[in-house]
Amino acid sequence: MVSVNNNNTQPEEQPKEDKPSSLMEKIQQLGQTNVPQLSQDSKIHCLTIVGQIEGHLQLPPQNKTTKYEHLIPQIVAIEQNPKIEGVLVILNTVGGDVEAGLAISEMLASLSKPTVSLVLGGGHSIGVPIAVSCDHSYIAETATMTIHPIRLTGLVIGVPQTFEYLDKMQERVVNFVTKHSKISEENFKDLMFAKGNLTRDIGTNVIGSDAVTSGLIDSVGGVGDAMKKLNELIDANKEQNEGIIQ
Amino acid sequence: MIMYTMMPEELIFPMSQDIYERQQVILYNGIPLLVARNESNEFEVIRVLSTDPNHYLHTEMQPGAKIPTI
Repeated sequence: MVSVNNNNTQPEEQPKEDKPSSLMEKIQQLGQTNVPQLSQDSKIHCLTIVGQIEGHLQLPPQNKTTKYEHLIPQIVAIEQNPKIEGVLVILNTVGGDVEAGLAISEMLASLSKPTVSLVLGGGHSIGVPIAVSCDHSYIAETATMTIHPIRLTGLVIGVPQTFEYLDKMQERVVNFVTKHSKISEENFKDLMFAKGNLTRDIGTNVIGSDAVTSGLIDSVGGVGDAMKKLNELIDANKEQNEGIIQ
Repeated sequence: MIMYTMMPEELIFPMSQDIYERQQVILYNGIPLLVARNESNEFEVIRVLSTDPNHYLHTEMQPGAKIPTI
């Protein structure tokens, strides 16, 4: 990681902050910018799960990916920073690596701070456990989630062993989702193995309110609802902590 | 030629290494950014990797902005 640090402030040389276009000039002339120092850190942090969830194989740069090596340290930092009181997770993902997706889901589920997730656009395949891992989950009315059995791409060496391994991996996903949402194992598996919903594939595509009626997601809503809920959860969390101190 | 395979495309047709090397993560004023080095040897911001929503409001490090390399 290359570190570019431009933080040495020289107050005498700083032009007045009134013109926004002067910023580019400032970089060109002085070789530095003066980032406005915010009086306080934001108490709500936001994690965005976009594109494909990348596994152990690095995808070419034209793919939009969410990398676990970026997200996991960020979640650790959020857990450790006392100034951060809540996390909003925004999902617009096609899915991806099962191990990486479950790792992120487990990190979010075990976070001691209130978390709210919001599925915008799509939260497909391994995006489902990430969406349900939060304390409260929202889905936009037009957003969709595809629930389907896990697949394998790549080389298969031992077929029976690989099959058993895949079966166990699928069980992990099913267990996680049923543990962290209101959907029963039976219903989730029904959705997962349903025929005729997806063209030439098994599974179900649940849209907005369907995800809520099946018990997978808590409610339909947008970013406003999600922030409101997160603030409620933060207040409840604070009250609870104060109660423990007394 | 049509190739039917379960293998991911990038496993069969590997990208050249310099495509991967063009992108990197830098820490600019304490904010992690995913940048790509362009022809004029500047960093072009591709993505802000921070979780702090305030970091997305800095105009000088919005996606597409250029950061001079020192």
